[in-house]
Amino acid sequence: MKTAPLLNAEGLLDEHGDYLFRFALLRLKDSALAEDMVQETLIAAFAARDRYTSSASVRTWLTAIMKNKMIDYWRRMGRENLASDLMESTGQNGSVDDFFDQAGRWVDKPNPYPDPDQALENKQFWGVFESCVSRLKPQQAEVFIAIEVHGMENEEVSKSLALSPGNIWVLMHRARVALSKCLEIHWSR
Amino acid sequence: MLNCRQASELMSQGMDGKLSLKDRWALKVHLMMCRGCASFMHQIRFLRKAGNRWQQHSPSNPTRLSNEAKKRINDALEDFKNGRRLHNDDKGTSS
Repeated sequence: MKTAPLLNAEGLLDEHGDYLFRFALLRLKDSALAEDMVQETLIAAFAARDRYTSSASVRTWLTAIMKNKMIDYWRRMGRENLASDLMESTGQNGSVDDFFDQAGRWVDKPNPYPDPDQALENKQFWGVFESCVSRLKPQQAEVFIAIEVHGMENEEVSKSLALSPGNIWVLMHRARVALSKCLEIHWSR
Repeated sequence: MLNCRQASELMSQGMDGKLSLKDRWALKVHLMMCRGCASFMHQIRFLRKAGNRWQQHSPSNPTRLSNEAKKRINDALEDFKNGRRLHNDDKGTSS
């Protein structure tokens, strides 16, 4: 009998709660609301556990439930544009076109950060860092957090987000270019 | 010859996986000649460090559920399982 992990609601929370929370937080930008979304999603998932088929990963299934909850939420708030953004979640990847010219040269060459080690001890720096991360496109932010904050491998991230490993490389590159420039502008200058 | 855009792509890939010998060589040559890309290399290494330490420094913007939130959600799930969360059947019986 291999039904145990899915039937166990606490298991779902332990295994996927943080992921769902980030997914919601990046889009709703409100942690109390994001927590509520996680709760609603897990309850809905638990209530519908018989309908889960193993054709999709549990996480993909949960994400789909959460997406619908968020779409409902935005519709209720009269934010139809946000709801439709989420429905076509393949868009919004961003590009690096602003950072390189047509010949592939830096438009604005990166400069070394003045005192990187000291920055990590500085409270103000973390404020800037957070605001730079939150300005990334949602998928870029997700991939960046998965890899650099939680130390996940490319392959793992690709599975959990249902994106190809090639997509992850591209998103990660874009995230790094955008973040490093954002920090350069808002922190070190 | 690599341009900066391609070099930055390889640097990023090299942070998360292994580059081929050919790519590594091409990147090395480019980095010796290009200050901007050399700075980018330092920047993305720094981003890794910062990413690693982010949560220690910023409990205000968590990337994980707090323990309190987890407990709250757990309790709600527990209630739901025990049938106590059927708000239609259970209107304000307790105060």
